Amino acid sequence: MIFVTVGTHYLGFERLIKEMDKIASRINEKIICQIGSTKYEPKNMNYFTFVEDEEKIAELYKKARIIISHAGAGSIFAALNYQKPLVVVPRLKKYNEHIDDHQLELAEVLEKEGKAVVIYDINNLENAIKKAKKLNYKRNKGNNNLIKFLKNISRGWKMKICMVISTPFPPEEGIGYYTYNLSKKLIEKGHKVIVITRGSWNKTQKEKIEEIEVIKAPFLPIYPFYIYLHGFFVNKIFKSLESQIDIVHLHSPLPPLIKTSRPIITTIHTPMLTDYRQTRITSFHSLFSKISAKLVSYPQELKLIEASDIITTVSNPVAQELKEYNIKPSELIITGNGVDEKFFNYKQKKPEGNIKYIMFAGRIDREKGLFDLVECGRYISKERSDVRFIIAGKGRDFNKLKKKIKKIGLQDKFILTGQVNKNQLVKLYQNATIFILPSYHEGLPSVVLEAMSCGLPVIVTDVRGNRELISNGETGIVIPPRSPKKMAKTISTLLDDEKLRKKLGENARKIIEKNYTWDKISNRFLECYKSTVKESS
Amino acid sequence: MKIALVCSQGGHLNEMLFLMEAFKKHDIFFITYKNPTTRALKYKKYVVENIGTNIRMMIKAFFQVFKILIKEKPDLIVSTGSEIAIPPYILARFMRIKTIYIESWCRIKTKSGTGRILYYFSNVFLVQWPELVKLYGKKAKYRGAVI
Repeated sequence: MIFVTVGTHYLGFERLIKEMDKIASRINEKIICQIGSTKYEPKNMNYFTFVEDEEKIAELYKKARIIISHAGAGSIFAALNYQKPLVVVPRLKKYNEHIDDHQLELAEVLEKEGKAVVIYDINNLENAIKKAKKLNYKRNKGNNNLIKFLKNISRGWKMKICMVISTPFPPEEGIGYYTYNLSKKLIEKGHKVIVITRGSWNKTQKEKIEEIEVIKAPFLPIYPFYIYLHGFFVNKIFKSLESQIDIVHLHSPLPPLIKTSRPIITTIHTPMLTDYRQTRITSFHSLFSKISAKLVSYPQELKLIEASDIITTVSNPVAQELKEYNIKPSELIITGNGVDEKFFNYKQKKPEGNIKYIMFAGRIDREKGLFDLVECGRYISKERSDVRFIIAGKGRDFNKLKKKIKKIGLQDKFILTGQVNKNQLVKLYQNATIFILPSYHEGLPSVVLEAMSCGLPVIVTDVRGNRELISNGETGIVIPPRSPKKMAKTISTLLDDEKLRKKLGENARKIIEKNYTWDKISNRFLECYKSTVKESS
Repeated sequence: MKIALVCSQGGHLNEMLFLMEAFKKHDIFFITYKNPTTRALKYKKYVVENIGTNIRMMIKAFFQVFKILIKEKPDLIVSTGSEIAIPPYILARFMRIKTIYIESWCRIKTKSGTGRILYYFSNVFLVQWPELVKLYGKKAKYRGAVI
């Protein structure tokens, strides 16, 4: 059967219908003709004017051996869709078949791409019908580029990310703040974030913290088996959410392993092996946690790494520590740490008074080099009286430090604030003249990022994490660790050189804006997310 | 992700149906015209009255579409064309919904009226013939065609 269609245009297409009628008298095949507004009445073939029922016309397209059509998009699209041999006769203006010659446009393209035989001279039609038998355009259904493009683009745009952490939320410490800041930025960019963390032992709690959906799964602190028990509950919750989630993002140490077909990204903040080595045995409890780190947490961490598509770390030093884990370089990405550059700003910085404040913030721990700082304070206060030291934070060596300060008689020079909240902290930064971090080892210290973001000149010790962040003399000053004398000298020089202080502070702020804003960090994560989504599709 | 598919009946609908495979993992619904061919559509759908070039119907459609978008809160709108797409695309700009506009396959060397307007309102603007890229400008992309 041959199906002829001329569309619904208000002008007729007599030229085609007349010719078809002639051909119909010569060939032995059934011809059905939709003649539209054409006045001529065919004598040798079945015909109707317009289509009323879409299904009926679909039936005709399907049954037809060849389709003969004007160059209207509707009928050509249908013909190609049913993969029928197609003969196209464009309506032309000179025969009063259309208001212009635009049908030639589509016709030419179809001819060029070999999707149809195009008739410009109506006398060639009969010949073309014979030719069209051989022309069978194949639709490449599974391999359509447009469909592929749409699939990918619609995936990357709005993702639902499930973060799994093991620390309190709303945040109280590093990983919590990291997750919180990252989530907020992702939400700002139009994505959705669910955070799953530990809750109370007997029930699942759900809450919403600034548009972040938080689910607290039951957590029983039976060490060291809590991992498996908590993991069971987390997986149960996750199963009910899985259909809407695009990406799972774990933050270690040490979240439960999620069993899923979705891509998993793991950010390792502190490797278990490092944690294990740094734990000093001072009590029964610390001995116990050291053993369980090696026997339970470490194998669990290995499982996490194996299940992950991509591992990310906050800094280069941590990436170095991860070398022992034999992670493929292509799967290890340094996404960095960020700072809320709008909150920790330099605009509200107070003008300096007569008293200069040297500030430290962080865990009060011997490893942070705080006893060197006290020693250094002793040297400085011999020479000048305008300096005060502020130490913000709490920690296991808090009392020891206090005792030492008292012993030297520097109570009026050292101010220990204890634990401070975010708002108090930013005021301290803005009030200080110099920030100092005398630690013995560091990952990528957030306090330095914060101080730099506040436009403070910083003095740090020459250890890996600090070195990565500060270039000496440009964005801060680097001194060797465990050297109170050198520290005192550097502080003293910097206090006397206002120009240098200003330069260091301004450069520090610039470097923060360039590399360490959450905007930048979240973009890096989005790249990771998108790459895994594409790979697994 | 929730996707609103916006198109009028006939060829535009045909093209959209051809692309359905791209949306199969998502939660979708149609916004289309009231018409015998769309009645048979098996997907979740909202119908509005035919706009054509009638300004009053266009204003009416704005309100109808606004209600639909508020109710469904789609993350993305995809359209293969005709003027029915104009209200949702303009509203999407203010509601921070992402949009992809796909110029109809039958446009090879000339711009469509809807395309002319939505070129400025869509996040991604696709044409199905390489020739059209030059005509529209930088934002227009050719990434293959429905057929």
